Amino acid sequence: MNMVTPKLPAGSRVLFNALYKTSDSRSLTDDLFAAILPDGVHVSVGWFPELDPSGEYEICFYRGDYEHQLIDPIATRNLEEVVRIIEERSPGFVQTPRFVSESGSKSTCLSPPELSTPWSSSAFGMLLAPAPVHI
Amino acid sequence: VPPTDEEWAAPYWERNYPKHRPVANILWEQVVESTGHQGKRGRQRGKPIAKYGPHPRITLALIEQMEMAAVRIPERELPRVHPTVRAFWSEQGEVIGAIAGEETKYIYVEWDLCGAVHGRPMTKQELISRGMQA
Repeated sequence: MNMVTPKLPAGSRVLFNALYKTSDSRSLTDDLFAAILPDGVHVSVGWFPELDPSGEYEICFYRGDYEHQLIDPIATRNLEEVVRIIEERSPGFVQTPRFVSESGSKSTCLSPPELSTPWSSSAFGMLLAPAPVHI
Repeated sequence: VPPTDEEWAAPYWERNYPKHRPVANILWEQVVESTGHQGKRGRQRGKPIAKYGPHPRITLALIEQMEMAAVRIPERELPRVHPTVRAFWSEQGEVIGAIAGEETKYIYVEWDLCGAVHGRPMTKQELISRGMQA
């Protein structure tokens, strides 16, 4: 049995991995792979129905509760396809760092090059914003 | 070469894996039904999965306690299938979750080579099919 490990964005953490290239249906279980992406999105893979060789892998992306899924679960019977889907989709769920806008009233997601205004000087902003960057 | 028991990292409860945790704000009867292949899904999307519950009696602290206790009983270890995963079972005194549309008192717990411990409710029949020696 050879373990398969999807490549994830930097900063991701694999919680556990039991993805194997194998024809042994006893190894086709619900909790095969789980990881957390840098922005807190979970990705998990399971086989359904468990132990049933006629089943399929299901890949889920969710945040917080499992019920809060970000996209419809993706099903496939092909392990290479599982890896490809995880590697292609995962970067799309990783957002840029969260910054505080000038008004301080609303959090916005801005990439550093878009910042053209000074950082908020409010206490709220000071708590959330990283060190000022002069562009 | 499969790793030996001595190579397994010390067990720790993987608190960042919420897949099977209790569902709040949905009637337990609906959650049970959602775990069945033919049942309604409730808030759940995708394939039916095992769920701990009912909420709020089954807490995360209780799940941690049950799962960590299970992996410390060598007699409850199931025959190994994955080279890097050890599996255990445990019977609780009361219903702790649901799977396949029915309530259960049994849990199935996996201990990964890296030390992560995570589990889920499972029927007695499923555990027997995985080699449970009652």
